[in-house]
Amino acid sequence: MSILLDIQHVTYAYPVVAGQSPVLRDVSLQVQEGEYIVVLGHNGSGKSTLARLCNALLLPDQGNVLVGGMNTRDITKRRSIRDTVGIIFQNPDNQIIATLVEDDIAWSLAVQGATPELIAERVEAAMAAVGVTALRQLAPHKLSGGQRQRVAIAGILALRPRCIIADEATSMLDPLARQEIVALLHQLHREYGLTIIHVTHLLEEAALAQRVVILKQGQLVLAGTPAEIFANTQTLQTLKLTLPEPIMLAGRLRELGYAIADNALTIEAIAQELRP
Amino acid sequence: MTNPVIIVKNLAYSYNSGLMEKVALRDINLEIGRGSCVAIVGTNGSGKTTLVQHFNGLLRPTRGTVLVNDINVGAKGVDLRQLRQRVGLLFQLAETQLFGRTVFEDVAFGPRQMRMGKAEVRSRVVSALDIVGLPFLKYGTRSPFELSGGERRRIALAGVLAMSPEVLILDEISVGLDGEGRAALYSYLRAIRKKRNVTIVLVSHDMTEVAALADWVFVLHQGQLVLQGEPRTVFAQGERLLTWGLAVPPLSELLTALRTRGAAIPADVVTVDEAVTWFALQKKHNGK
Repeated sequence: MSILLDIQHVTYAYPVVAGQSPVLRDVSLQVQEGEYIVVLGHNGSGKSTLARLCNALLLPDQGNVLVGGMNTRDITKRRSIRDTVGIIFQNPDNQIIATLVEDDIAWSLAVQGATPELIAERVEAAMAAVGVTALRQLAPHKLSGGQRQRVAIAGILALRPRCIIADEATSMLDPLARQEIVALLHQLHREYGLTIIHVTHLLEEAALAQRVVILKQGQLVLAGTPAEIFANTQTLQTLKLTLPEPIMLAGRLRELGYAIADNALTIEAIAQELRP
Repeated sequence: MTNPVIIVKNLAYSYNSGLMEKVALRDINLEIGRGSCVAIVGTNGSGKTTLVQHFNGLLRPTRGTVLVNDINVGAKGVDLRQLRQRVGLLFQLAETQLFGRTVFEDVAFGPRQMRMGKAEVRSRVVSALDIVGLPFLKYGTRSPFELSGGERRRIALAGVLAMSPEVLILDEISVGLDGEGRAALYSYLRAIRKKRNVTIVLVSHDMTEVAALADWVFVLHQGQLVLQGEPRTVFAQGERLLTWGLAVPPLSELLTALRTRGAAIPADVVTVDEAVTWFALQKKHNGK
């Protein structure tokens, strides 16, 4: 595997208030091509800043960010960097522009001057990948939050990135829509080999990731597989991250002597372990 | 129900958008007990917000009646000013609705509109800020816009509390807050209930939140009241909730999955502690 994203000793402070302490302090992180990684942290931990540094929306004060070997400081590479890494934001309404679903998905390609044939082909494929083909002729404001978020994802997919960063992309959705979007990200990871960086404050969304890193006040404080992270209940408590109740129950039952595998992190898996 | 504060009888409501009439509520009947905390759950478009907007007279029934503290919301010449002082409504993403230059100014807006004296305004603001954990001495003179999203939302809540409502309607109050922000908000809501005996109406699609706060749940689906009961009875019906597009709390989901696999977990086991106790008992029995 090769390294797609290489974040090297990055420090960043927003320039708005002079003397403010940096939101990221000496953060280093390498993401492999094809990896599914969850970045966890509370509001204000610096996780959205980290996401924005990954496609040159922000540039580090110190350190470097390399995307597929390209330094985000290199202005001539900016276009290729953003073609490589696409970001989906918290509120889909902030990145939906057009008045029809299919026009919105076509937007970035059209701006880049792609041919009509290429646009049609890419839009078709992107709609099919996220399951919004039936909605193509609708106005985005008539869709549910979850559907709008799918449209936003399709808009990114049409550009054929190698990596998608979902920055709190589920936090404004209801629980079912949230589960669907998480499932969609995993599906894109599986079927297209996309690198996924999933930024969230919800521990339960980390259960199926390949790797989890936790940010606190601008620093990486914990990293590991979901099973390792979830087993670290004391650190999670000091970080004020709430364990999902099923995993909390599994942990307490282990203490009672129930044999539950450490990697049973989904409801299905725990139920399977506990069945009579 | 004894002494309900809100009584809804045969309520129907249609939005009229020019040519099209859209039925948002059909024949709703319900009562909300004084001092209780009820949750109204349902997917987007189920009519939750339409229903609660009747409680403070933002909407008038198309048919049927809504009585709030014996005030008939649909009556001609109803005193809306009086109604809205009794029923406080906090909208979704309330932190975006702050406008005061300072936290004090913002929270004082309501009481000033109620034409209260200076001393009364001040004491209400101080007490409202206290109850949401943002003491006046520390926060009163700061600009709301330099505070975090969670703190701003609590200031919006204080602004409603300063009017001393008897009923507090909270529309999706925790959307977008992280776990810590939520936990803080929940503890302040419990304090508000305890100290002021306010009736709280939660509009929510977060079932974990409903399980944590509410003592009665109403489920709306396509404008109809399809289920009501205590949270534990409602959440025990996972499959029905799913058909209405609602998730059950993850723990209920796990317990349901275990029951379908043959575990004889009683229906009244709903919390982590209760489940641990039940499993511990099983272990003991099996050990013998």
